[in-house]
Amino acid sequence: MPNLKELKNRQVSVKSTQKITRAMQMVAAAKLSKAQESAQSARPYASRLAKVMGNLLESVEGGSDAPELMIGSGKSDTYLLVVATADRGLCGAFNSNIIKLASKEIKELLSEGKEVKILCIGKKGYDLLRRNHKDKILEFISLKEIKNISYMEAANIGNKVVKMFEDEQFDICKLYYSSFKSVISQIPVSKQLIPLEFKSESNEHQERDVTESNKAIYDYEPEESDVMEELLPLNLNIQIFQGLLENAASEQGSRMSAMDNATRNAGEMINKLTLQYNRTRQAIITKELIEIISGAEAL
Amino acid sequence: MDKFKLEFVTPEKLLFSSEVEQVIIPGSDGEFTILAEHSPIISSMKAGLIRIYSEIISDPLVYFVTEGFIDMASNNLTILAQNAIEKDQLDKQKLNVLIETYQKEIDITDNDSRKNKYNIKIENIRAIQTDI
Repeated sequence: MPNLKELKNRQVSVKSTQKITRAMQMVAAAKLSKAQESAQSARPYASRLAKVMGNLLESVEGGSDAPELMIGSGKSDTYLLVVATADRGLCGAFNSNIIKLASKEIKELLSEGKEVKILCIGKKGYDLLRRNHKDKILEFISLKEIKNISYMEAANIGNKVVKMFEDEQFDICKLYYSSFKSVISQIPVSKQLIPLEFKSESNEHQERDVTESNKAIYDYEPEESDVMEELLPLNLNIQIFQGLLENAASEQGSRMSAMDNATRNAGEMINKLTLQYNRTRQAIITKELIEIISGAEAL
Repeated sequence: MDKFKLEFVTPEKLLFSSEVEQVIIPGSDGEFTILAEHSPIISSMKAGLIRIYSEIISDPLVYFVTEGFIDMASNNLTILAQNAIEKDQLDKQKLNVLIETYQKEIDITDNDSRKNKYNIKIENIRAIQTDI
């Protein structure tokens, strides 16, 4: 029979763990609303930019002089994977889900005989990827010190990627992050950054634009190709920026539900321990009573 | 004066969205003015001041931008600026910080065309610095 003191100690320790998880849950909830807000306020820019890009692409599309950032280098030998994860743990399966997706695709690419290079954003992803793919990791960027992700951070990463592309260090660039569907659902996704890939939503954009500004023939200042050359890196930066913002929101959402679960589990454990404690206490009292009674009877 | 719709956005937020009468843009080939019914145009911007004139406000709204784009189509003007600072909050200190960051970029790149680009940016910012 475990003694009472031991049970009491365990109860106390579970209680203090519960206090920590509850506090973390509340902090995550507060951070989540902030992260959601900033993800939302970044949306107008991205949608307007997509519109301008759509207009531009229509006029450039098919041209052989289109910039390489848009059509790619024509090869697909080397892949650069930008894997964005969190810098902290204790957020459920958030980090491992992204890494799982990335690892799967790394495996596929390697089996096809492609070369893979990895750029890690966030410490947790770096730690996980380092185990199996240490030689492929080019760089690791930590955003731990940054509380609110600003456009500047994304631009720094984007500029690095563009520079590497210009130096012909890779042919295709993909971004891995977790898209924020709701507080309880975050889905790891991969998005191709170079060459530019138009998904269905931007196609919708384009189609709508065609009907809207059917006859609009744009003047360009400076030349069309110059504008394009400046717009493409900008578009890349914005894609990364949006990915980082969604990631931040997903991280907090994931942490919130993980901590909610932990708090509930701790509660269950406390109930069980309390029951066990009380039963043990009663058993001890009963035992003592029996001893006293049998002692009295013996007299 | 005829009005048109202006949307002024930065990556962080929607800065301004309203009917305006006239906007002066620091285009990369020189400053130009956009009025209602302007023909469709996409232009990049250099570092400079955007001036927004509207009936509702007596003084023009002035923002400093380092780079960005404008898109004018069917009486809708969209300004996409990487960053925007209100003129009241603009001081030499902030501009100096910008110049320094560009200078650093110049120091680390070995690409000549890119160096040129940053040099032009620095020149533009210096010009504004002397203005204020």
